[in-house]
Amino acid sequence: MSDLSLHLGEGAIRIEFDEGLYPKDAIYGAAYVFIDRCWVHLDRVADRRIQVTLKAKKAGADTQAYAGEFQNELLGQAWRLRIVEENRKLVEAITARALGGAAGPPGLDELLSMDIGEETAFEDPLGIAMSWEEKYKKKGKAEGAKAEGEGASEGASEEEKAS
Amino acid sequence: MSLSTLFTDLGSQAKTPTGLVPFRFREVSGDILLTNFLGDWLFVTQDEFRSLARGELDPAAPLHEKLAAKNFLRDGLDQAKAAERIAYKKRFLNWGPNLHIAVVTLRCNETCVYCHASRANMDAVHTDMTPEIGEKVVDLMLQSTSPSVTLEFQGGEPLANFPVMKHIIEYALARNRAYGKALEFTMVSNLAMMDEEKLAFLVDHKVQVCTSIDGPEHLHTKQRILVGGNAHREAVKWIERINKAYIDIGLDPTLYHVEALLTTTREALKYPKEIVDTYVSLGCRAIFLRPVDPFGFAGKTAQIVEYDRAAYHDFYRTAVEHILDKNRRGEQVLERYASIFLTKILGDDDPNFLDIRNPSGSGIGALAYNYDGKIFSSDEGRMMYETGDPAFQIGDVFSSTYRSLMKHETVRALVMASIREAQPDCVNCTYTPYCGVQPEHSYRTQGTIFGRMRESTLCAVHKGIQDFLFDKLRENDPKTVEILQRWTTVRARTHFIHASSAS
Amino acid sequence: MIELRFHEELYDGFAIDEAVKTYAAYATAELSRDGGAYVVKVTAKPEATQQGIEERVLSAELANYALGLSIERARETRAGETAREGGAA
Repeated sequence: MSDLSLHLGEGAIRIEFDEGLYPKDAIYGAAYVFIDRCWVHLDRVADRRIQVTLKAKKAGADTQAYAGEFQNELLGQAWRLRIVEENRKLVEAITARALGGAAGPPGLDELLSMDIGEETAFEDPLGIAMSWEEKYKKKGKAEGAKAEGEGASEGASEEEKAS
Repeated sequence: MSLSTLFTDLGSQAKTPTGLVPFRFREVSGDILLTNFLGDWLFVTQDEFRSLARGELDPAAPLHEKLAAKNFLRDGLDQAKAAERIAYKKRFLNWGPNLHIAVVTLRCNETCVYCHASRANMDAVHTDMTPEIGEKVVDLMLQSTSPSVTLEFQGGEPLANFPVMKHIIEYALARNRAYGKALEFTMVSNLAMMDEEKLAFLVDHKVQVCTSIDGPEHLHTKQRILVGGNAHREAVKWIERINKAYIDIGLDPTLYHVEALLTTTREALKYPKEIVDTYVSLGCRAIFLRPVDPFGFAGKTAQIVEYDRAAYHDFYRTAVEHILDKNRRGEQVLERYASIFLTKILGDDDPNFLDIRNPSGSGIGALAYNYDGKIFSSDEGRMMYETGDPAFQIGDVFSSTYRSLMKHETVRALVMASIREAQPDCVNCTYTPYCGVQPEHSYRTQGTIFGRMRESTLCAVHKGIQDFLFDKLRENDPKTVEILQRWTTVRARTHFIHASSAS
Repeated sequence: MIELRFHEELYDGFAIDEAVKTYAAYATAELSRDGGAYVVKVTAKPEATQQGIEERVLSAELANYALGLSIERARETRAGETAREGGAA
């Protein structure tokens, strides 16, 4: 794979991360925070290992310090992913209340200007119209789920007949 | 015992105590402070905490009763009441921005080392807000879902564009007849361009006046340069004049007077008591010991004005002890930071101070309108724009509707980034029930709206202040606690509210 | 000429295309695939070098752009998946 440190010259720093500890999403998040101040390159160097190459853009800036900050940011990003997953409902509830309270209901002008027509009327970005089975069936277990579903529906049919 | 080694010492004896609500803990001067998700708190001794850490809680022990009384036990927790308390404290989420900051000009007649405003020279009239833009600011403001709104005039020096300020005030009062909001006006000014005519208008139209006082004259004039004049003397002259004007119209001077704000620079750190004395001598009843922040010029002059937060904490403690002494001798004056935190700690309420709110007031609690009509999530966001970063611009008065501002993705991101329960470090922090961090500050200092709290100077300030306050509460000196309790009492300044019934 | 390699699992092909287009005024680029990587051979145009723009800085900025856009696209995709999974809360 490319060794961007060669192209960036002296001072570029390479750090490797175990994806088991630092998910790719967290590495993305940390990288994004630094692309204004540093040149950042990601590479996969082995299974479950990602290498980050960093170099400060400004001459004289301390790449070592940025690398340290990067690792701190990465730790925060990785931890935040877990926290938000665990506290998802709380985050959603507060955000919805905050934005709903601030925005208030749409006025007549806004309702009239909404694009509700043939093409948009049946858009379902949140999947509200999807059946539970369709939404929650797992990939790779679709056949098993289907078999269970058929078994359950047969049972249900019999119950219906009985009642 | 050190808290940091307690669990290592306990080893396999460490057990999660059962029957308790989720709580967090922190050592404060040798005792252990516990806080829960409702914002209740209590101190336990080290021995009591050690027994909890072993999973022991004897129902007959005094500790059990202490914990029950403060809603730390699951059994007997009135969940409905708990939900009610949380809903009450978070009621600000039901409404949109109540603070609307109008930067009517960048022109300024003073130069200050820590200036937020990215000031312009007095001949830069192209940085004046036009009457048309001012009207659009008012139109947007009045659409806020908040039943009360405050229009705050800032600059530069807002008096440099007084004609437009006047026009905006008159327009807002007229328009508000249709909206019926509880409308207030405030102005943040250095007062050096004040005169009797302007004063008469401001008093007549109930505009609250706020100014900056950096402390004794030698300190103030070192940091705030008024060409051809003395910035301190001008400010003091007009503070006294305005305060007299309030008395002349029959207002209680303990409640109605010019508010003054401090920006604690490195130089100011040397004069905690002198600064407090200066404020008290000017009739101020509240002192806000704000540390310098990284926005505007302060970001560029950091080498001159910045300092490490330990130095700020020393300054803060000395100043507040001095304020407490004054209170013990009968003078009623409070420190604003303390008052904000104490309202949450002792008052079981939220004072809705936008920068220390959870989630923060960025966008949903305040909007800043630049002279050119651009709209930002906060004044700090606007300052960042003036120094080259438009990240927090969410619209402009010409093309944005009120709802489009509230539904802007930046506002959504700022809300989510400032929910303390979802942030690393804060999720475990004992002070999370009382704290808040402005995401624009994190962005400016660390490059991300989420921030890394261990490296955050704002977090360090908040922790230091809360450590100090909780230490006072732990000491439990009756007179001190009575004073601190008094600092949570808000006397409404109803004179400044323009109430109007909608037609 | 500087050869940049972008691992397919970490960079988005569309994002790399966009990065190349964005910097087209300053550099020519030859795109290919090799192994599990997108390969971009970047050569600074004379007008860029005349302006004092270093080829390696140009390639580093192009790589940054590709990374930034890859991350944004990954987030958008994830947000869409999350909305579909949990939308009916």
